[in-house]
Amino acid sequence: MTTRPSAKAPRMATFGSAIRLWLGMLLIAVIAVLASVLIGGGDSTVAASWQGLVSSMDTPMHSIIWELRLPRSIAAYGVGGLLAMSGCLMQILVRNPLADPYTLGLSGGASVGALGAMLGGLGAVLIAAGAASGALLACLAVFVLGHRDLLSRQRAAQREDSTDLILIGVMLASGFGAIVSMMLVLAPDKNLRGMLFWMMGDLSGAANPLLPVGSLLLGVLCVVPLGRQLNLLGRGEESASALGVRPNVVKSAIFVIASLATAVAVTTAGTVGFVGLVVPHALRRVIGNDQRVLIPACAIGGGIVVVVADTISRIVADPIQLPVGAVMAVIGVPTFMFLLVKRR
Amino acid sequence: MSSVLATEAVSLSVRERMLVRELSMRVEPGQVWCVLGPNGAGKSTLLRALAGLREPDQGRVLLGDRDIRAYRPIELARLRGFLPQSIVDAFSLTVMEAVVAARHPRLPFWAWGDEDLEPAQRALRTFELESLAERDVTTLSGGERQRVNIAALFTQDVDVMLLDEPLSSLDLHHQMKTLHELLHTAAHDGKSVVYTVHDINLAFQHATHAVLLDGSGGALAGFKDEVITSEHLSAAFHHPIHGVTLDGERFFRAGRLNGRSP
Repeated sequence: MTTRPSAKAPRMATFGSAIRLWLGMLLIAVIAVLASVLIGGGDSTVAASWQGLVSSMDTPMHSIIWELRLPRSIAAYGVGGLLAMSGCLMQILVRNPLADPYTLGLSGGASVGALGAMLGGLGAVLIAAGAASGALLACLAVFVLGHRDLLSRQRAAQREDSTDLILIGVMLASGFGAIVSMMLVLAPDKNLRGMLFWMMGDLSGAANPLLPVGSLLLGVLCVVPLGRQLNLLGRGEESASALGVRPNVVKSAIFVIASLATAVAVTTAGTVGFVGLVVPHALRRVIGNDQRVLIPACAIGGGIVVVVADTISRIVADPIQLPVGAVMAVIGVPTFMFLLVKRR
Repeated sequence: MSSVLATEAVSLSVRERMLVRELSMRVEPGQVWCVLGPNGAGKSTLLRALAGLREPDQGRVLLGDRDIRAYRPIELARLRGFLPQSIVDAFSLTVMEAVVAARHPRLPFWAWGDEDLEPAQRALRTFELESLAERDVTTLSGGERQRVNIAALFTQDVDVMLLDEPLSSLDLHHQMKTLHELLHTAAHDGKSVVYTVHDINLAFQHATHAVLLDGSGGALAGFKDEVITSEHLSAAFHHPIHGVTLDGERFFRAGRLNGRSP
């Protein structure tokens, strides 16, 4: 028996279906985190890891799980979620599907700050501080230079793209890239490895998992109420403002949220590429473009991707750890190509 | 009536060029206004000023006896709707999503947005879009997209409807259909309508009032019979335009440049 899809209810993302999707993804997220905690390199078995996880006895396994793997896994989750959410927001902000969290030069600024701190031989906390201040300075520079794109109240009718903003970001990024290359050339050999790892994403130093996860939660809570306005903004600023959206306010808000999210991610794990570009895209192809559904889904899905990639990067060449960004790209590029070719 | 849209000595200029000089007009409920004029004469600029999306260089725009700048954007969006000349979608979305999104100003801040689909479905039926409801807007033809955006404007359900070239890229049937719906909603629901258009005859048949811009500041506004005359048109468009009467109905035809016909 076939039921004709009733004309009364065309397929649309209802609140219920969105909640079901998010809960399903959260379940996968919990499984991914659990798996990453239980699977380890070397001689640790899953059973031994499970014992370490559940027993409260003070065994070496117990401390490996609770002090190393779990914080790292949770930090990886937070970083992935932050980057995917911020990538999704950046794509809306610049109306360009090629945008990612680093489009506006944030990663460049963070790299200059962090590598500068490493060159100076400073400790982990100061490296993180360097990354954070570099990212925020880059963000400030974009805001000052691009304020006409972000804040103009009356733009010319025909200007519907944010070309200036992208150009400013790309220019800043190449400038920072040049400085980073010079730093790498000048760096003594003993620092070089750490610097390269930082630039390709390194979760081994992630000390405080609560910061990325907490920021992720906060970011999602700030963005979710803007969902309908972001959908309208996707239809162009003119029609959005005719429907009661203040484009300059909404755009500034998502710029600030995306920048802060990226800054937190960068200070936690260095520049993890790929996830911010590809997770929003892949999810768009699967669940559609409704930003109300998509942004929380990106926050959940990005975390899953980075947790899985980080687990693989830990175990595949054990005892050597691979950079998580590189692992992610190696797995992600074919997957994304498949999604791209298959079409929705 | 609360939703009278009026201009008081509004002047508009773009890059030092005066397009509209001291235009005063009063759009009352039930009236349908067409805005005519040559390319670049400021039709769209005038419409955006009427919508409160552009501040006039002089004078002011009043909506219901209140300066339009005094409204919050969301309040304004419950009273007046504006159809831009073109909508470029950054991301794909379905026709239904595009139309339902126009309910935004009516919804409380925390609402999800699928609470009241009835106005959207009515608008889709009106503009013969039901079969396209699931389609991706970015894959539609230009005319279909235009109908989607007009349907979205009807879904917004506002007292004052401002449309910038609603007929562009529509086929003949849908041009007539759109104009019919605009006249119908003005006559039966007391809406007021202002639209820009290039086809003088369609405008003349489907309007109660008219604004004629000549691109150098001159702006005539009033009853269509007083504004749309062959003298005024010829002067504004810098082209000979003659009026003829066929079956008791007034038509305008432009003189050919080879000088052979009328």
